[in-house]
Amino acid sequence: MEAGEVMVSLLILLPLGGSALLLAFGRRLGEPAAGVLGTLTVGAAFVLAAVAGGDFLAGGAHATHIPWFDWLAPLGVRAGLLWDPLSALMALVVTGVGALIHLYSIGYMKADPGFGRFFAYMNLFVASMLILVLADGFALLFVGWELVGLCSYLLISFWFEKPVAAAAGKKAFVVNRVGDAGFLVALMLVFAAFGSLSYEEVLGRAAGELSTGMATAITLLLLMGAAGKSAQFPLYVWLPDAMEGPTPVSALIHAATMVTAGVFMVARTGVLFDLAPVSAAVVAAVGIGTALYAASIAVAQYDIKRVLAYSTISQLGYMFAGVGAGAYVAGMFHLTTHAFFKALLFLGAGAVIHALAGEQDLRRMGGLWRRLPVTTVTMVVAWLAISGIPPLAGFWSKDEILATLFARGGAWRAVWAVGLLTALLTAFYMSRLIFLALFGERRWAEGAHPHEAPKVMTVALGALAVLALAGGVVNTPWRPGLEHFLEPAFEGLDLAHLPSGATQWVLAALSVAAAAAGILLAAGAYLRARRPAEEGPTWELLRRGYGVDEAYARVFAAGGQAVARFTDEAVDQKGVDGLVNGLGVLVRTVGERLRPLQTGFVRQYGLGIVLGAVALLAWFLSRGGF
Amino acid sequence: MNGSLTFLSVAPEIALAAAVVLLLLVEVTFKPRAWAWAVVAGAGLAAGTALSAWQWVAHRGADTGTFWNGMIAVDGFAALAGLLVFPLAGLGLMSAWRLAASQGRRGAEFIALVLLAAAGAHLMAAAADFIMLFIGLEVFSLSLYVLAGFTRERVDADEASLKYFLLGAFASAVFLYGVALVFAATGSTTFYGDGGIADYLAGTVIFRPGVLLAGLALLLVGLAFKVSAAPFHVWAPDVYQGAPGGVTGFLAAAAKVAGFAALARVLTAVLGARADDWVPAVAVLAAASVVVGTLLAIVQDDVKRLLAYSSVAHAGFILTALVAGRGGVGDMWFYLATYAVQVLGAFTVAAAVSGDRAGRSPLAHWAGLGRRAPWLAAAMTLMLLAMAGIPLTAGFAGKVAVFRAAIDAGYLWLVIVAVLATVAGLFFYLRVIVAMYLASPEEGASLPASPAVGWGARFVLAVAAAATLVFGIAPWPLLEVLRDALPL
Amino acid sequence: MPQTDLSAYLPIALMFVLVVGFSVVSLFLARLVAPRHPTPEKVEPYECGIVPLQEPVQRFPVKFYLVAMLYVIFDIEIVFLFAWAASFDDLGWYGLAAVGLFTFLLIETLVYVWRRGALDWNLPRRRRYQRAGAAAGDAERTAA
Repeated sequence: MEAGEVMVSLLILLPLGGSALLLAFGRRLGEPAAGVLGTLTVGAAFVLAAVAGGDFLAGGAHATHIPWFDWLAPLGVRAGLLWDPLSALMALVVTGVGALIHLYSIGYMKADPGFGRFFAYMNLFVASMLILVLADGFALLFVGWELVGLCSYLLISFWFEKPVAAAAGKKAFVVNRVGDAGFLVALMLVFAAFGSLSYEEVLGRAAGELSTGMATAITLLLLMGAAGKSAQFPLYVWLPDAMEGPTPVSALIHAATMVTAGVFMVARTGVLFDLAPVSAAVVAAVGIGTALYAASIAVAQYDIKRVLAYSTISQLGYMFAGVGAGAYVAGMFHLTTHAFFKALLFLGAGAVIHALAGEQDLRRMGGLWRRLPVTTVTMVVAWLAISGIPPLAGFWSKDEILATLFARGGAWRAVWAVGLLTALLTAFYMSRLIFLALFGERRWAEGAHPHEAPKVMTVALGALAVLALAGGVVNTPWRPGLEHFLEPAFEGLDLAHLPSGATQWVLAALSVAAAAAGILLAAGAYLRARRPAEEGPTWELLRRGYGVDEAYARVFAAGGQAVARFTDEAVDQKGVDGLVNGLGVLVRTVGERLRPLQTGFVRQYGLGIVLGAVALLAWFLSRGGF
Repeated sequence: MNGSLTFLSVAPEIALAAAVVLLLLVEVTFKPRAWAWAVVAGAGLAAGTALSAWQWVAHRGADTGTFWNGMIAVDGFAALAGLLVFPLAGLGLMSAWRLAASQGRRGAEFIALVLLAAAGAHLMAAAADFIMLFIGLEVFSLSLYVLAGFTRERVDADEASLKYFLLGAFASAVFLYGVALVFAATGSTTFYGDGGIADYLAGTVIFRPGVLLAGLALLLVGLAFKVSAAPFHVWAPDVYQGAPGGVTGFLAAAAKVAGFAALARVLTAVLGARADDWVPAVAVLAAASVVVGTLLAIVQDDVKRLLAYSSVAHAGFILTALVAGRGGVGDMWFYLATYAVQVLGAFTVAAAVSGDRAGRSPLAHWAGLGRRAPWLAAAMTLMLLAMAGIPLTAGFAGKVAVFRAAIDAGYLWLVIVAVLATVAGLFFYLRVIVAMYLASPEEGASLPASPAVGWGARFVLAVAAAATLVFGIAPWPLLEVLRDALPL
Repeated sequence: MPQTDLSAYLPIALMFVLVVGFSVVSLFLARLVAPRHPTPEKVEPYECGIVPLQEPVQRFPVKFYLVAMLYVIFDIEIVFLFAWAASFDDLGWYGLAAVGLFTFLLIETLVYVWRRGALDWNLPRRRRYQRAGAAAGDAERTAA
C-alpha cells in the first residue's frame, strides 16, 4: 500500500478507533478529555483528507481504488475504498464540519451524564459516514448506509429517558427502513444484472449492457432509498421529529452530512440515472416539489429547530432538483455550502437555546442580539447565506442550480420557476426566524439570564461563519474551481451547464430580487411593533404540515399496527411460533429421549462404541466381501 | 538421504522432549519457582513452533518427503499442524497456569504432560506409518488421561480420567486392530513410497477387499473416538465435565486438532484411492455427530456439558469438510484452527467462572455474569456466537468454508442437515448468553467466589477474541494459505 | 501376495485352533476324569501349608505397583540393550549414541521419581519434600 492509500484507510480508522476507545473508557476519561479525544480524531482525519485530496486540486491525479481484502468473494464483493474527487469532497465536508461540531459539543454537552457516550456515538457516526462516502462498491456503501442509520437512531434517542426522544428515534428508524427496502431491492437488481456490486464493474459496464427499463427500475428504487435517508417527500416525516436529539446532532447528522447521503448516492451513480431519463426527471420533480412544500411548512413553525428541520428538507430538495437535472456539480456545490450555513444555523440555534436554558419557542425569544453578540453576528451571516444574498456562499450554489435548470429549457423552466418561488419563501421564513429570535422586543420569561456561549462554542461558530461567508469562492462562474475539481469523477456524464452571457446575469438578478423580496416582506411583518396574528385555517394547515403526519399516523401507523397485530396473533403466534415452538418441543423431546443413553457407565459406553463399530463394519463390508 | 535433514524432520518432537527432560531435571535438582517452569516450557514450545515454521517455509508445496525409512513425513501438512499445536499448547498452559501453579511441586509434571501431549499430537500429524501414528496417538492420549484427573481431589475427576483411559484404551485397541487388518490386506504399514499403502492401493485392483474394508472401518472407529464424533462421543461430556476446569480447554482443543490431523492424512492421502468407500461413511458420521451433538446440547443445564456436546456437533462440521477429500483439507484446517481457539477461550471463561479445579459449571453459576464480570461475559459471548456461526466471526467463515467444500463434493443433503443443526444450535448458545445478561443470580444461591482471571487467561481470551474477529472479518488470506497445508 | 492368498496365515490359524482346543479340552477333560472328594481342608486356599488368617483378596499398597513397573521398564531396557550389544560392531558410534540417549532418558526418569520420593516408603520424608515447594493444594492420596 502506498502512503496515500494508507492515509485514506486511516481516515476511517481514526474516528472508528476513537469511538471504540470512547465506548470502552469514555466514562473514565470524563470531561472534557472524552470530547477532546473525539474532536482530535475527527480533526486529524480532516487533515489527512486534505493532504490526500491535495493531488486532485493540483489536477492530473486519477481516482485510486484501494483494495482492503476479498470480503464476500463469491459475490464479487471486495472491501475497498474509492478515492476520487467526489469522495474526497465528501470526506472533507464530513470531517471538516464534523470536527467543528465536535468542538462545539464540548461546550454544549457540558455536564451531561452521557458525555463520553455522546462523543463515542458521534465518532462512530463520522466513521460510518466515511465508509459510506469512500466505499468502492454498493455492498460497502450499504454497510455505511445502515451504520449511519444506526448512529442517527442512537443519537436522536440519545436522551432516551425522554419518551418523545425515544419515539422520534423509532420513527426515524422505521421510516428509513421503508426507503432501505427499496434500496436493497435495487442492489439485488444490480447484482442480477451485472453479477457484481463493485462500482468499477457496474458503472463501467452499465452504458453498454443495461436496458433502459432495467436502469429505470434500479434508479427509481435507489431514489426510494435516497428519499428515506435524505428526507424527501413522502418519506420526510422523520426529520422534524429527529430534532429531539441534542442540537449538535441535528447540525451534523440531520443537516450537514447524513441527510445528504441520498444526494451523494445519486451523484455517485449518475451513470445509471443518465441511462434512465424518466428517473432523472422523477428525482428533479420530487426534489423541487419537496423544496416548495417544506418551505411553505417552515413559514408557520414556532419551534426554532423545527423551522430549521423543514428548511433542511427544502434545501435537500434543491440539491435533488440539481442532480436530477444533471447538474451534479451544482448539486454537490450546494451540498457543501449548505453543510456550512445549515450547521452554523443549527449551532447558533443551539447557542440561543443554551442561553435561554432550553427554550425553543420563537414566541418566547426576541431581542437577544444585545446579550449574544457573537451568536447574532454568525447567525446573520448564515441567514444571508441561505437566503441567497451575494456574495455569501449560499447565493452561488443556489443560483447555479436555478440557472442550470433554466438553461435546460422546456419543462425544466417550470421547475426553475418553482425554485425561484421557493427561494423567496426561504428568505421569508429564515428572516422570520432571525427577527423573532434575535431582534424585536424581548419576550423571554422574567428571571431568565441569557448569556453568550462559552469559547469552545463560539470558536466553532466563528469558523463556520467564515466558511458560510466565503465558501462560495470555490465555484463562481468566473472561476469554476469545484467544477474542475469534480470533473474527473463525472467523466463521460451528460452534464448540464450554466447558460451563457446576459441570461446568466438576468437570472442572478432575479434570484437576488426574490431573496430581497422575501427578506423585505418578513421585515415588514415582523420588525414592526405589532406582529401579524398568525392565525386562520391556512396558517393552521401549514403549521400542522398539511396534516400529513397525522394522516400517516392514521393510515400507516394504525394500519401497520393492525397488520402487525394480525401477523402477531394469527400468523406469528399460531403459525410461525406454532411451527417453531413445535419444532423446539420436538427437538427437545428427541434430546430428552436420547439423554438416558448417557448413563455414565463405562460398560455401556463401550457397548455403544462396539455397536457403532459394527454398523460401520457392516457398511464397509457391504461394499465388497472376502 | 541427508543425515542432518533426517534429524530436522523430527526436530519439533526433539525440542519438546528435550524441554520435558530439562524441566523435570531442573525441577528435582533446583526446586525452582514456577516462573522457571514457564521459561523452560516456553522455550520448548517456541523452538517447536519455530522449527515448524521453518518446515513450513522450506517444505510446503514442493520439496517434501519422508524420513526414517518412511516413518516421518515432512510436508506442509505436518508443518502446519506444528504451527497450530505448539502455540495452542502455549495458550493452553497460560489458560491452565493458575491450576498448574496451585499444584505445588507437581505443577512441573502438569506442564511436562502438556508438552508431551503437544509432541504426541504433532507426531500424529507427521507420522507416515501406522506404527508411528500409533505411538504418537498413545503419547498424546496417555498425557491427556493423566491431565484429566490431575487434581486428584474430586472423585468425579478421577472418574473422568479413568473413564477416558478405559474407553480410550479400547478405542486404541480397535484402531490397532484396524492397522493389523490393513497390513494384512496391503502388506505394509507405511503410507508412502514403493510398496507403501497408498502406492499399493493405487496400483492394485483388489478383487475381494473385505479385509481392507474391515480394517478401514476399524481405523475410522478409533480416530472418530479421538475427535468425539457420534456415535463414539459418549466419553466427551463426562470427561469435559469431570476434568479440572483449567485443563479442559486444552483437552478439548488438542484432542480435536490431533485427531483430525491423523484422520485427514489417513483418509485423504493414504486411503485416497478408496474414497468411494469411506466418503459415504464419513458423511454419515458427520450427520450423526451434528444431529446428536446439537440435540443433546439443547437439553443440558451445565455449561461444560453443553460445550462438550457442542464439540461433538463441531466434530461433525469438521468431518463435513473431509467428504470433499483432499480438496477439503484446507477448509478443515481453517475450521479446526478457529474452533480450537474458540473452545479454548470458552473453557477458559468456564474455569474462571466455576473455578480452576471445579468440574461442574451449572447455568446458575453464569447468571448475571454480564454485570459481575463484563469482560468475561463479553469474551464468552463472542466465543459462543462464533461457535454458533454468526457472521463476522471466524465460526461463520469456517462453516461457509466446510459447507462449500461439501456442496462441491455433491453432498447437499449433508449440508442441509448441518445448516438445520446450526439453526437449532443457536438455541443453546443463546441460552448461555441470556443467562449471563438477563438472569440474576438466585436468592441465596451459593455462587463460586467472584470470577478470578489470571494474566495468562486474560492473554488467552484476548488472543481468542482477536483471532475470532480478524478471521471472521477477513478469512480469505488465511484460507488461501491453508490450501497449501496438504499431506504428501 | 496378500488378501487373495491367505494361506500364509495358515500356521497362525492352526496355532489358534490348537491353543483354543488345548485349553478347552484340558479344562473339560480334567473335570470329567479327575476324582473329587472335597474335604474342608481341601477347599481352603493353599498358603504354604499355613492356615490362612484372613481373606486372600485384599488391597495392598500401590507402591508395590510402582516398583513393579520400574522393574518392568528396566527389564525391557535390557532386551533393547541386548539387541544392540549383539550387533555392536555394525551399529558403531551412532548406535552407541542412540543407546546412550535411550539409557539416559530412562535413568533421568528414575532420578526424577526417586527425588520426588516415589521410592521412599517412609511417609514423613515424602511429606518433607512436598512441603519444600509451595505445595498449596497437593492433596496426595496415598494408600498408607
